[in-house]
Amino acid sequence: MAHRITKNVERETKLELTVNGKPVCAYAGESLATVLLAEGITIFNLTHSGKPRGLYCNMGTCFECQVKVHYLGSTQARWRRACMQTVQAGMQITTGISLSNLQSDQYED
Amino acid sequence: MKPTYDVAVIGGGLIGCACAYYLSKSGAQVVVLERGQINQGASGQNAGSLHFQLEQRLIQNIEMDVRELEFHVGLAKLAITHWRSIGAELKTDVGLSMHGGLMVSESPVETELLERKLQIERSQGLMVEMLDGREARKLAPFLSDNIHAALHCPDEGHSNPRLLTPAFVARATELGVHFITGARVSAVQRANQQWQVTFEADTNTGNRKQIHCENVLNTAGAWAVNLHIPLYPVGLTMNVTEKTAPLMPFLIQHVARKLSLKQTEDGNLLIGGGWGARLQQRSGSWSSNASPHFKLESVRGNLRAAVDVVPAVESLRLLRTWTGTTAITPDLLPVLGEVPQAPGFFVASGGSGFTYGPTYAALMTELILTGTSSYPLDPFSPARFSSLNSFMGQN
Amino acid sequence: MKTDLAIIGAGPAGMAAALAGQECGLHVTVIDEQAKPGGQILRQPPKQFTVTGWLEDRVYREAKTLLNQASEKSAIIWQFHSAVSAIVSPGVHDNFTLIIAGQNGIRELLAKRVLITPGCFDMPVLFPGCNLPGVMASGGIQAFVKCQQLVPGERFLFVGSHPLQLIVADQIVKAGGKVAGVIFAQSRSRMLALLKSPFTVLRNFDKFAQVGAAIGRLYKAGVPITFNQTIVRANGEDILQSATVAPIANDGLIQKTSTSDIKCDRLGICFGFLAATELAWQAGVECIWDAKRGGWITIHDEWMRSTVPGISVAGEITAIAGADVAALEGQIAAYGCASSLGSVSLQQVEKLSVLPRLKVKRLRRFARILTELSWPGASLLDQLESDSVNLCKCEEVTIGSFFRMMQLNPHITTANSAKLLSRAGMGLCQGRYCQYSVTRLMARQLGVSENKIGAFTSRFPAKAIAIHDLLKCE
Repeated sequence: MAHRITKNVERETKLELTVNGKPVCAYAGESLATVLLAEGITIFNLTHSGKPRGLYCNMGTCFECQVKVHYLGSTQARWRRACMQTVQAGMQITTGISLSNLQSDQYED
Repeated sequence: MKPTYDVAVIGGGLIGCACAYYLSKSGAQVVVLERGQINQGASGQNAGSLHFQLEQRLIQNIEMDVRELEFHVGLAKLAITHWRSIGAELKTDVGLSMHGGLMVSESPVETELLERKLQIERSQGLMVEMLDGREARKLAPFLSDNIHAALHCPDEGHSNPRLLTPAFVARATELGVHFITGARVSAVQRANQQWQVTFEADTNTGNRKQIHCENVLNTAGAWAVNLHIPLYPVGLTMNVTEKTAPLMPFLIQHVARKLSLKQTEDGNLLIGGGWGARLQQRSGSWSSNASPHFKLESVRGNLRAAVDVVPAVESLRLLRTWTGTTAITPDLLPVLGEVPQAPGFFVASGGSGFTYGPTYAALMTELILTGTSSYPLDPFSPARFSSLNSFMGQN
Repeated sequence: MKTDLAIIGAGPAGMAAALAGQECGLHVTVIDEQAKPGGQILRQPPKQFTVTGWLEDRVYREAKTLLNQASEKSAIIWQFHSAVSAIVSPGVHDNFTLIIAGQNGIRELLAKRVLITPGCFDMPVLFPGCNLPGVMASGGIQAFVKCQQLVPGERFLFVGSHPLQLIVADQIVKAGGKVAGVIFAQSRSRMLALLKSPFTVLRNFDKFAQVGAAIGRLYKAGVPITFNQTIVRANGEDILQSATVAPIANDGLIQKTSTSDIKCDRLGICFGFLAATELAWQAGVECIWDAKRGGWITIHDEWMRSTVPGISVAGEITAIAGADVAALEGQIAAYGCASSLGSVSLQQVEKLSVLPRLKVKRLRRFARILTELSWPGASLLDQLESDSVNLCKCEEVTIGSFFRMMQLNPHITTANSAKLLSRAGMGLCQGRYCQYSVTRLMARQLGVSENKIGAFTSRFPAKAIAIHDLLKCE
């Protein structure tokens, strides 16, 4: 499993968010990719034909690391590249679902 | 010398390749000369809508008498029959879907337009049905609450522009049609009762070749040359979203706004409707080689219309905006027929070339081989621009 | 908003260009998709982290100096979290319009000159299992360590042909990760060929020292470094569990009968880099094919001006050569823009450019040797291919189905028309990860040069944008 480097590194604030419904702690400034890998998640989404996919380039070009993100206060979720998106408190992240999935799930404000 | 070919088709787009297929099916010897790659122009770049209702541009933007509109409806009925048989004819998948189309309105004024249209279409026997907003949403729950009414035509749909022309090419090749790509036609001349077509076989070496033929069919669209037919290039914009789960089985059009919207069999949403793009200028004149520059206002306007009609579009990502060039005439009608001053020289270009392309091709084939077509093409004849030719001098 | 010089990319080339442009009196704006300047070489930790001794190796010293200088210049306008979606060439106005996607919608920037310095990305290589979760770009693994301070897995295996994998493996070991091995496709003697010229070694001492120290530490940590070996398959049901490797014989053929499996949960791929030319293509800049130095790379003149008047290029998109060359090219490009805008005289910039040009020439010589030696070779790439492997990972177009499409459509002779028929290149990455293979495969099958096959037409938006965001203005 991935792990955060602690030697010579100080991290500030802790944030709370959920990953697949489970409450998770993250540090401010972390990318979603970091949080998900640190949680032991490797499958980020499923292709249109149902094949599992995970993070590849970690620089925003390959689009393999997309996950569904619901932001606090929004009624819709969106596909985001996990490597390019910084964590925010109250985010709800869903991994391992098909890219065909339209944002049909409704969230309460 | 005996001509090598019955017909030389200039242009490897949909109409050219479909004509080549129908002509050779009737026993003609055919060659197709394409200056670039097959299907690389408007035929492969359009949105692939099959719209049989009278289009927004026909009922709104031009003063047309009822008889002309009726002529269009007649053609639509012919095209419907044609499309229903095209899969079997071509023996291959062309992404054909005919699950119906809705032309929507957002206000009572716009609904009046729909009603006027409905009468003409009904009188000619086109299957269309008026739905109020509630009924429209019942049939198509993805529609916005703002939709006031919709005209439903069960035959409308879409086919895949990437696959249709190649399918005609594959069947035509089996029948012995010669396709020559990278062939830029530089001259078409009449000599000894036949046509002589000169083309550069390879633009890099300037290697010149000539063929002789009974007839020439110029289908080069925006790139048609040699005659004073007022065909003007127009840059158009198309948008495609990422793939998503099945959302809408219908072709959606708007009676008063430029919008066509549908989901392809792959799951992408195609959004178009005639929004402009800026043609590239090269040394003072427009360049037909370069794809037109996209305009942000066009993309935004098009997507705004799509979101207003189908709100779910908003949550999708825009994958690509592409621009293409098409040819239009001053009266926005296609040019189909023999050029009066040049016997044996035919043109076929412009005007809803995708929906009607295969039908035009079948009718043009009749015209070339027998001198007449089973559905009259007179309103589209290049003869209507004859005054221009005499005015500008014959080429 | 208006600017004299819009610089796309805040890596070494962009930072150096910004400094040089600003010193010449230009109003300079730098746009980057990341949160901070530095590019991939200096992917900075987030501002909420305090990292002591960040990238202390000598090899990063020059780039870090540049980063500090650029960050302190208050006259430079930085636009982060911003992706340039399109460069629209002048119509009625004299200015280029950059369409920029930010975090809260779209905005436009008018610029008299545009400098494109988008850098490069890890070259994808096709082999069975290459799309399995757990298979990663080595550069991506490295960015986690540099920036996010994360060891992104448990047990790493590095495979490829580029020496960078030694550096990444070393950084992983230093950060407390396990490395199962570093596998090179080339022979040991071929890699050592770099050391043959004492001048090359002396002039690039820092780089050799870094690699040398890395090898020493890996050796000490018991990490096997092997040569003449290659990945042939990544294994696992849904997630990577092991990698199958095989020896390469002297004739270059993979010995597929004597394979071995290595357990790992992360496989770092390191075969070199591709130039990120999509924006340049979109703007109409002419590119040429160079398989070893980035695939499609841009053409430029002595002032780094592209074939489109007003648009310059610098750094990796002009041919992969590393951060030092990129910075120098950025500097020269900015001088060129400044003199063409009249803010300094041509004589002045000629003088300022003498030394940078000399250095570029020298460094390019080394870069050329490095890219030559790091190139896996067409034969290896060909042998790794298999019909069931995705050519286009986004649209899931397999190599086999692509070949069938080519057979059925002999008229298809360009990458663009192949894209229309096969859907390869139509997905969310917009062809970035299949373009190189499509071009190579088609050229090989048709027996023509890659330049004849051409590239995919690059369109707006350079990266997909949510329609919701596109309809909003920032």
